[in-house]
Amino acid sequence: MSAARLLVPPDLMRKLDELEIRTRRSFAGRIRGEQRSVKKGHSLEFADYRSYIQGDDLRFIDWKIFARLDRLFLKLFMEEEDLFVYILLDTSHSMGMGEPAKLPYAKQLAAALSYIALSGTHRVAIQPYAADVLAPLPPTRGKGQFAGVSAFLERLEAEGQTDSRTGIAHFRRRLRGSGVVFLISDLLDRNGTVEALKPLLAGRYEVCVFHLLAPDEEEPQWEGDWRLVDVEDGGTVGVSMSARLREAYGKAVRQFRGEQRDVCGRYGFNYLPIRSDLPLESLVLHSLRARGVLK
Amino acid sequence: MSFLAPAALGFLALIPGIVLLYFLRLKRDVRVVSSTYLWKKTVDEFRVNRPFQKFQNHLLLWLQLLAIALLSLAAARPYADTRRDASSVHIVLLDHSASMNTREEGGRTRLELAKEFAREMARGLRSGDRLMLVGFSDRAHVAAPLTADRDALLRAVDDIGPTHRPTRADEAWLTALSVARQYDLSDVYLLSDGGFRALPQLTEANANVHFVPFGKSADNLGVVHLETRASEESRKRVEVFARIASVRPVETETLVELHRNGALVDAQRVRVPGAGERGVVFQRPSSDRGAIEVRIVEPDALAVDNRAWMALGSQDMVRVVLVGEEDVFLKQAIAMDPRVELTVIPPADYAAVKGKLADAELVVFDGVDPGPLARGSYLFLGRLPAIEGFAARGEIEQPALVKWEADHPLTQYINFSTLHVAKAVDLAQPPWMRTVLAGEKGAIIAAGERGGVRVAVVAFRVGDSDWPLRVSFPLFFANAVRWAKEEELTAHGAVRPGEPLVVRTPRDPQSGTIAPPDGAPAALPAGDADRVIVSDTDRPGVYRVKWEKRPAEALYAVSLTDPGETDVRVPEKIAMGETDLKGRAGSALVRREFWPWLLMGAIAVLFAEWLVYQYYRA
Repeated sequence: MSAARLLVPPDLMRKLDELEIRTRRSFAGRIRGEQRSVKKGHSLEFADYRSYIQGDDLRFIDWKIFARLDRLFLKLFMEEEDLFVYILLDTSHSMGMGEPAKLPYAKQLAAALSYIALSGTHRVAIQPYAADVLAPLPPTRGKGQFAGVSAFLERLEAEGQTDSRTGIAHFRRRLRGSGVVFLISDLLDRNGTVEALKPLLAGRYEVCVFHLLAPDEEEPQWEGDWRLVDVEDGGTVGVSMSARLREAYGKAVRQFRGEQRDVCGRYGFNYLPIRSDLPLESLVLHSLRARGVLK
Repeated sequence: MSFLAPAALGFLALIPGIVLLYFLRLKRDVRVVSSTYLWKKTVDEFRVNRPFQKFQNHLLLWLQLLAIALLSLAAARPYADTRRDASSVHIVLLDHSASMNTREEGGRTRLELAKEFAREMARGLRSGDRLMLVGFSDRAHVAAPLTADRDALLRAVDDIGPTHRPTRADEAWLTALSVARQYDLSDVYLLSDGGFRALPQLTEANANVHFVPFGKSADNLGVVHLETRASEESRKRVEVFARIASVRPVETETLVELHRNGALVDAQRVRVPGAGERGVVFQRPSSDRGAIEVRIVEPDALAVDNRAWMALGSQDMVRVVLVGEEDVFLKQAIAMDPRVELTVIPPADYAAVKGKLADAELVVFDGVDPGPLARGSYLFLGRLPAIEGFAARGEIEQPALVKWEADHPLTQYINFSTLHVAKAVDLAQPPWMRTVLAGEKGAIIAAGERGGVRVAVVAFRVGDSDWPLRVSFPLFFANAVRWAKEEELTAHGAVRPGEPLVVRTPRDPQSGTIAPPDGAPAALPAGDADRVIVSDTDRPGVYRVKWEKRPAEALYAVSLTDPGETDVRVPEKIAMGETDLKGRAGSALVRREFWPWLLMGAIAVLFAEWLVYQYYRA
């Protein structure tokens, strides 16, 4: 567990024990777990309503409510079963940049999410990707596997260019069943990362996008005249830093975040903008709970 | 404000280059970032929306532009002529050179007008004011030191009389500056007709400089150059060449007379162009002796430059002694000058008459060693004098003649190119000798003077050459006679008034007198000196020197012949360093240059620029 201690501090792990992954819809798992399922043949029990989203089974729409409110709600019938938790981790070269660097932070977040999932007897699979799809961590279950998960994460290094479409396409082919997909990335892929996740909608996956940037990427503090070199594609751009340019860049970053949020909203993905200087404990215990990712 | 070096403003052309460099920014440090995606987007929008944003707001750029502007302005040397209140220290420089004798309308000379102005200044001194009076022509003298005593000043003004000297204002100017530097502020008044070149820049003195011009007349002709030269057609004639200058605006026809010893001997009518010059040549027999005078008859405003004098060679017989075997060529060549009285002494008899050669102007030793030499002039042929430094290093067969001195009295007007020498002495000579005909290995003919002994050495015997068959042979000996008597074949005018006159003394010490033009003779000091310097030469004309034991007079001429003095036109302004002083009574001009302030400003801006740069880098 030495590696695990590095990624998730023990005191935080104790606090994580009390958390579980929250989903907006119910999923069918392979074995009974703690997660409620909509699978038939088990002790069906009405649980809740939720808004209808594209792809939901029309048989579970509560037509009475529709008649009354003119809005589509889905009746949820719960059965506690296990959940597939997939973590898509961007390990491209850009994730190694920033101060603090983004990849170590992303690994910690992935480890924390994995720990919570494993604690809830869910299955955890991790798929790192960069220019190409890297060897994944196959679906793992049980809290005892957390050491392996941590070791797997520890081995990951930032290298290669980002190619989200290829990586996610490979990832889709390996998906089994349905579940929750966590994407941790800086989304600095000019071809678009979130768009590549769109096909997951059909598979009844609940997607949560962690948009991770470093503080100096959001608010650069350096001055002077520079030739900026892209760490991935080697592209350059000359800048003379000034207060106005800094302001313009900050505006571009906010716009970029907003675009990503809009795309996620369009697909029904949960979008969480995070920074690598945000304490992990604060993120997990407060922010993710507040945003309904954990409960 | 004006600029002394406006071309330096061209450095401002660097500004667009610097601005361009700011846009291009060719040299940048590299910074690796996770992605340039957002940066490109930002910079593109930034450029589209605000093309001049960087230009407008880059402090470094503005500082650099300011530094360039300041440096360019400093290099252009801006200045302003400022006027100040009059000081209590007045320094008056009063010109009393020859041109100040020009008569103006009303019959008064410029000097009289200037003196009247100076008197008014002295009378008008306020309480606490002091005035210093400096008279100047080609030299300056303090007529009155800085004083408030009006009577002393008026007497000093009266004492300044006319001279016939040229104008040289530098000495007076330096005198004025040396006084002006002692005071915080002073006024320098230049009372002149401007007949001098530019004044040096006013340095280290804070003074108002006033150029007060006197005179308006431009009615003058003058002899500005006079010389005699041998006629190219015949050696029996001498040409007297004079240059007549006119500053009248229109052509003037005038009679130019030539006088010899006070008697009119020739005259020519000359048309001198307006503000121009014309040469006039008189032909005279070369036997003419005495003083000649060129005189412009046309009356004008300035009389002193209408006459110029020159002394022609004396009519004395020239006693030449030839010590050597009988040589008919040599005898003929030496005796060709009708003035020469030749005595030939065989070598065997030389010892007996050795002491009696003192009155000989020239002694020629043809292959004879005379032993120690008394004062006098000697020509050695194929033999070296017994003087330390002379030595024969050997013999040279058929020496090639390389070059000769065209301006030396011994070799002028002689072409040695046809001379062939069979053998010559390889001559080693003391450093005070001058080679006048050089062979490949050394001197063939040399001449020099040391301790009253004038020596010329010809390194070969006449019989060892074809010289007697050449034209250069008699010419050389004619030159040698003149050289021995220190006569110039080309006689240049004379000294100018005020310049020292160098009078050559006879070999045997004796008393003498010098009589200035229309003046009483004054005694000349007797002594061993070769020359006597006569400094009292203020009056132009012929100075006659008479030695007690010499029958004939030696004549020396003093003439103005100065184009600057003949040009009596008064300039509107004179140059003081790089400033023009306009001629205006009472105008006070102090030029102030601003470049030191600009330079200091530029340095401060560059320092600030460096600080800002360091701040941005940090």
